[in-house]
Amino acid sequence: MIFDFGYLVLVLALLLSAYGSVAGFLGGRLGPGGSLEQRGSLRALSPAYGGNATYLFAGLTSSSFHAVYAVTALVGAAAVILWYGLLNDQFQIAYIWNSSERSLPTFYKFAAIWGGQAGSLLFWTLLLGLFSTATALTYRHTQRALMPYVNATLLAALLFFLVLLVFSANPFEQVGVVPPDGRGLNPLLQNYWMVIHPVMLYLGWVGLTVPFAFAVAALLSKQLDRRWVRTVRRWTLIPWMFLSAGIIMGSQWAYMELGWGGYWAWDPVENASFLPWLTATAFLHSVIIQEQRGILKVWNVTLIWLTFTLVILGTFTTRSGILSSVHSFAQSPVGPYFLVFLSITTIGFLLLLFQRLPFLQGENEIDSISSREGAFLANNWLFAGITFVILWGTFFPMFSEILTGTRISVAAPWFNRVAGPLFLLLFVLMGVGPLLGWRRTGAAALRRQFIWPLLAGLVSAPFFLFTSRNPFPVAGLSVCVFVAATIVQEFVRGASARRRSRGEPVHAALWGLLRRNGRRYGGYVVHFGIVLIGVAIIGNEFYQSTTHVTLAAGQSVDLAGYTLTYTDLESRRSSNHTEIRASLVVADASTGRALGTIAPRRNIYDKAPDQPTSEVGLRMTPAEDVYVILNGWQGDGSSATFTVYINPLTMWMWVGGLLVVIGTVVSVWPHPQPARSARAVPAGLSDRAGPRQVLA
Amino acid sequence: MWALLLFISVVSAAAIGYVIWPLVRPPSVQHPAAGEELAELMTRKDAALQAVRELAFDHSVGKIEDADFERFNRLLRQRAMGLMRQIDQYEPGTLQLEEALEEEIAAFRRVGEAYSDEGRGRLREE
Repeated sequence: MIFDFGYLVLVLALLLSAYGSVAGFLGGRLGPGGSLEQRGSLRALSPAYGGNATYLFAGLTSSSFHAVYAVTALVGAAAVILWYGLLNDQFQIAYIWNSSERSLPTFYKFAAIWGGQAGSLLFWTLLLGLFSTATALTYRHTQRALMPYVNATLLAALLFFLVLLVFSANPFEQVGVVPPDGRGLNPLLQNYWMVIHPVMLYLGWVGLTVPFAFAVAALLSKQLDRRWVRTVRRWTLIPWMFLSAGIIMGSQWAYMELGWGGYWAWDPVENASFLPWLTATAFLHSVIIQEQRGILKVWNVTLIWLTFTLVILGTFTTRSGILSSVHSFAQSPVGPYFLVFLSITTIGFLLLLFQRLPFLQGENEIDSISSREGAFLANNWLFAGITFVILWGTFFPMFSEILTGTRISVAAPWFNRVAGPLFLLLFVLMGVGPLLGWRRTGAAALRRQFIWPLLAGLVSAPFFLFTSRNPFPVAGLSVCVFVAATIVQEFVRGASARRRSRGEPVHAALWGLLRRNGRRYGGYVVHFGIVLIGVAIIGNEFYQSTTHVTLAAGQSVDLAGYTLTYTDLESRRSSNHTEIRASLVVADASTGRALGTIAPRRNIYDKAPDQPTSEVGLRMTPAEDVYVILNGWQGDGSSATFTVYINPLTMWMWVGGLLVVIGTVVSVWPHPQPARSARAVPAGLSDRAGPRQVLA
Repeated sequence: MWALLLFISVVSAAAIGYVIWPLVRPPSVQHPAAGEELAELMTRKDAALQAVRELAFDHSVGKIEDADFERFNRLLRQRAMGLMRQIDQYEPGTLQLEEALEEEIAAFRRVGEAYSDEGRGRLREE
């Protein structure tokens, strides 16, 4: 009964989201500056309010807020019911039967809600509801012209996902008979990174609906000023941070679980998460120009729409099955629904944008190319170019099948060859941008700013030539040194300025920079994290060594300065799988000194014996990883087959990812604001939520 | 079955009642359209003051040359003054605009605190 109740709760949420969306839209039309208020056409329709459209506006708008809260609560109740079913092995529910089993550890039973199609859509809807509620609560007293439309857009997005849940992917669908046990969770998902990685990705993807909602609201209300831009920047940074963390964690999962020696294969699902990251990153840069100079308004709105569209497009491609992927764990006939939603949002948004073009004129022009805004503009072109290249490569199999009848996939080398040089240019700009001032940087200032970082990059190049004759890694690492030097220079100059003016010790001056100007210096921390990721990619791509070998017990293999000796093989039993574990002693090849033991494994799951998963054996150091995959073995353990990789600098990928998150937190963290000198902010006008009751 | 219907009916009635309640009893609210314009002016003024601050910082660390700094600083200050003048029409202030501008910039600088003496001195001279 409780599961029937769960389904009916979703139906009720669907009805309320439809109502709330209409209420929000009408409330916006009646609100300050709204077209219906100007025409007075609602007076005839609102006798209950004495013909006063203001009260009707307040009623409808407040009702849309209530709808957001109610829909979130109902979806939350449905999710709790599904979790209850998962944790209590209620296999009469088809989703639970397909995604869980009695012996599955509780940890994974909880995570199984995002392990399949219907559950992950429910989880997506829950997160969207929570983001919508957070937005509504934050701005319930402010942004009065925008919020009705923001609510309407968020509720429309919720409506779409609820339509999917109610009509196409019902998580509470029941099977005729109660099976004694479930079919088990996909073995590849039974990894601790898979518990947290999808949550991060979903938080990123779902969170990017909020800036889209604000963009739609700004266009509908014609309030295309700087307020919504300021508001939306923070609401883009937070999901961007989650998306970044999700991508890095996904790479970590692929590195540890898929067992092919790398972390990124330009797979359609990986690209689906990376594409909105690229456009959101472009937006985070170009929005600063709009804030500072009042230009690039059309471009910024377009980037927000593009980011949201790429989120939906990525979800559509990976769930509809039109592109195959090692990461696709959830496929069902939801594709047509996504396609319709994508078409409606695209056509609707572009028509609206076209109508509002007269309100999106730039207030200034770029004074000089040698300015920060010039560098940001160039970086936006590059981001757009990279997005196009990756989009083309991702969808090429589909295009080729349509045009030639043959499905031709584009492999990782193509992406590396085409996107690689563009990323190198992007890195150059990442170093150049911070060295330029706003508006115009003259020749003398350019010399002053560039001399040390350029020198650092150039001096390092010959050193890198000793490590490789290939120009690409040498150029790449030199550019990384150049960018790192610009960041260090920025911190040194900023800290020196503080020390001169305040006499602070170095650590206090650096803390002061982050605390007082976190937006700028948090951004530099993010850049430094990206540099480290770049270094790790170059190390893994150009300096990797590998061998494939079969070893008898006691035999050794030498690779890149290491000696690996196979010692033994053992079998262990866990709750729902058998673990085959090989042990190898790692030693320094030149001195023979033992460095440690590593243990590559294979897990053979009871419910999927023909799908053994690989758990790599890893010895991670800042210089390089010794990475071993167990490929096969003799039954008695007398010999085993391994693939061994030496992956230089890979650890810096994870350190860089951590810095990206830390830098974003510094950037988003509220910083001290100046007190208003002579004029207080009138009630309900501050962008920061205040205590005053205005609406809702 | 009947229990399910009863339970979902109660939940539906509560949820629908909660959502449409504001239509039955709309919150009493006044929202002059002018408020939105004032909020926008204040945001633009803050952006202009932030730009003055960024310009001073860039100048202090050698990213902007003196001649460019003079020109852009004058432009930005004029813009900030213009915005403050417009805001003054909504809420007449007691301070002179020049003084008010200096006070606003000082307030921004107090929380910024990242300027060198060089940039600070130049702003005061103007």
